[in-house]
Amino acid sequence: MNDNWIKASDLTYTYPFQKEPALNGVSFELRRGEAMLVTGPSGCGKSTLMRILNGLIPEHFRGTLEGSLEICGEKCPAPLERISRRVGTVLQNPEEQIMATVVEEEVALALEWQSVPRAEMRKRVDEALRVMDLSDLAGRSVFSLSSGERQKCVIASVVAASADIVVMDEPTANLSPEATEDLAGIVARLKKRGVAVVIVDHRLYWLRGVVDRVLVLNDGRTVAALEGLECLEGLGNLENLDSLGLRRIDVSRPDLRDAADLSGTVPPSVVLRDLSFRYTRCSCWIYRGISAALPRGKITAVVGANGAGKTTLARLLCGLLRPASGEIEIDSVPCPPRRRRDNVAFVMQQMDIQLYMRTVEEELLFSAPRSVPKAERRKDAGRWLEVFGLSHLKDRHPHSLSGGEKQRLVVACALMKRPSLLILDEPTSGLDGRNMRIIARELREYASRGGTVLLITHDLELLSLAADCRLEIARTAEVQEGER
Amino acid sequence: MRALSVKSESADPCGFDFRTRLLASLAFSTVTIYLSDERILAALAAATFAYLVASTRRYRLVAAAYALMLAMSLLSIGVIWGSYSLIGAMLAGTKMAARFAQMKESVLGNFHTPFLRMLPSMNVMLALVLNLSVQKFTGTLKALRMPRVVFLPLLVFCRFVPEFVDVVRQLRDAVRMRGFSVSFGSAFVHPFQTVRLTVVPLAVRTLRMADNLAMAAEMRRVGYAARPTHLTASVLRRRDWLMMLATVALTAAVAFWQSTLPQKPSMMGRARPSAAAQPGSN
Repeated sequence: MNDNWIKASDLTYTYPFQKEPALNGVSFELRRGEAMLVTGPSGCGKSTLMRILNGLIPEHFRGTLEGSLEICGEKCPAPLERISRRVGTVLQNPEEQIMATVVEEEVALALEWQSVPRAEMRKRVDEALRVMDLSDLAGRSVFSLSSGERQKCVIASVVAASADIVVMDEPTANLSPEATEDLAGIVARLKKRGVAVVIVDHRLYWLRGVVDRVLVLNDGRTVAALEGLECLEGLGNLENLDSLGLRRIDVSRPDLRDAADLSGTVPPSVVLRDLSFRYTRCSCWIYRGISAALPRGKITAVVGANGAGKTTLARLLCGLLRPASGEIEIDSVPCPPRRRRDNVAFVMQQMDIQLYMRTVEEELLFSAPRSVPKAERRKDAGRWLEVFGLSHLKDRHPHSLSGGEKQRLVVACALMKRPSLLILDEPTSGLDGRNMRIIARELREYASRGGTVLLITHDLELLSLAADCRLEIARTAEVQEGER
Repeated sequence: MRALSVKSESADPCGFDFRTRLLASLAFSTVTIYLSDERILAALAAATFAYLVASTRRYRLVAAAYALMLAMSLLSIGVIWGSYSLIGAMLAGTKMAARFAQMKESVLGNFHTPFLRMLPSMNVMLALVLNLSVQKFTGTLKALRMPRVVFLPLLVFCRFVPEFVDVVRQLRDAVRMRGFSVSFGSAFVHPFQTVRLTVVPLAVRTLRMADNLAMAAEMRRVGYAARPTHLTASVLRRRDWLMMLATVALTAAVAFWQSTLPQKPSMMGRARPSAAAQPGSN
């Protein structure tokens, strides 16, 4: 067996009941100790390729698979049981992957089902925890971990299982910039151990100097295949970077002003006075006596590490949680929770639970305040459909849309509400560059018309494009496990 | 995310193993089916109540459960009393009236027995549930060496429950942000709207989650090994063996006590045939 851990030739795959192939004639090689980035616009076939590599296609997803694939010298398709010994997978959402409830048990899970003897298992689990800097969290409940820690826990389980190939699907979608930097270090460590890493991601900046190969897909076909540690820079020279829906490579943390610095020049729209909050049955305070102001017509970015309590702040502002003390004013008037729910629109991370109606257009009409006349509602809906590029989908069922389309729809629904304050929680996680830029553009447009926006995001590119100022939330020692 | 009930070991005051609690629940719940004497049921209820309080120390929750039980008992008595009174009034002046009045008296006179029978079961089940965590439960499933077809669905289900609870909370928030509420009340007033706001998003989300969890399990070879090994050994401690012994002893004692007592007349006014009264048993 040579060092070619993956050898794919002319891979073509068509999902059941589909005419067009999702992947069309894709070929590449990946050696041990190398990392490869697979990127491209939403729906380009990245996830399909990932499913072929980890054996879910054709074992779990039927359809027609053509071409040839060798994984560590073994011809595929092979039974999933055999492939899973060689290939470890890290999904975008660790919550949907973690099976155990304690960190070390999660890391040991795959080993237990490989019937590894207890002494050896203990050794490998401890080693994986050490490599991932998780040794201190070995006995912790997985429910008390932040998103970044959960992601590391999943990677540790793959390391413990001694996978030769690690496939990561959008691994940075829920990570803070600091955790993303850590992940880049982890990929470098995996490479040193001889593991071949395949990363499927839209965010590119963190992979500079990390990946050895880049594969750009569009409509299921390879549009660029670059090699060498400088390959990402080569991607930056592609003329159609924007039209391909790719994100920028040169992204840095934007230097945003503190929201408090704007209070002298811009009138505040929302004011928090001496706000304290803690969860029921929890003796520790999440916030204690905090005061802040969100300037009108500006986009304020909430900045803080994973688990600092950013979403809790959003839920307080929306009136979904009641503060223990203090008050929240909107437009200089104290606003009780019930009134806040009417005046604030909140775009949550989970899109599926925010879509209820039979068509996209109905969804928008349903989001408008009841006080707005019907004709005006229709006019508004038509405008937002056009602005967000959803007009041709207006009769489709919202749950049949792609991730990017759903995300645009839930933002449009929030704007239909005509809110005094628009809050968005990670609105671009997992979105390609094109969809991210559409959302950034519309937020800027909304703010320029006097709207106030609170943006919770780890997406540095979105922050650079949209945010005006920042509201920093420090993770206090008082934030208790399991309450984030 | 707040999980449904994920606690540290220290949260369990007595620290009994899940298997010990499961045995207590099964033994006491089963023996109450055989018991009919009020004194024995009351004694068992008192013993299991002491076990419940000592092992959970969640007084408010226990009080709430008892209040709910009392409310349900009173409601049941009220409904039955009302039904018998109504039928009795309809039968007034007929031949059936006297017999029906006797039946009413008998039913209401013995009404406390079924509720007394429920108390030991409620106590042991509460002691099991209030100390239950997903972590302990999955650990027990492993320790019991259950067959794969039983273990796998249960593991996915257990892992799924806290996520499902979180999704329900998020869904409730999302609906409230649209100016609606989802509650039992709103389900009666606006049934179609409630279905629309809950069923579709919940179904889509949970199906997706379940599918991903199942795929994640397969990708990690869960279920493929004939004899999986275990990272930690699950050992029963001395207190567990003592508790199991006490459970078996108490169950046997109350069963024996019941067997020594004469059979009581049933609700219909006739004595149930005892073993001695069976034809051919003399």
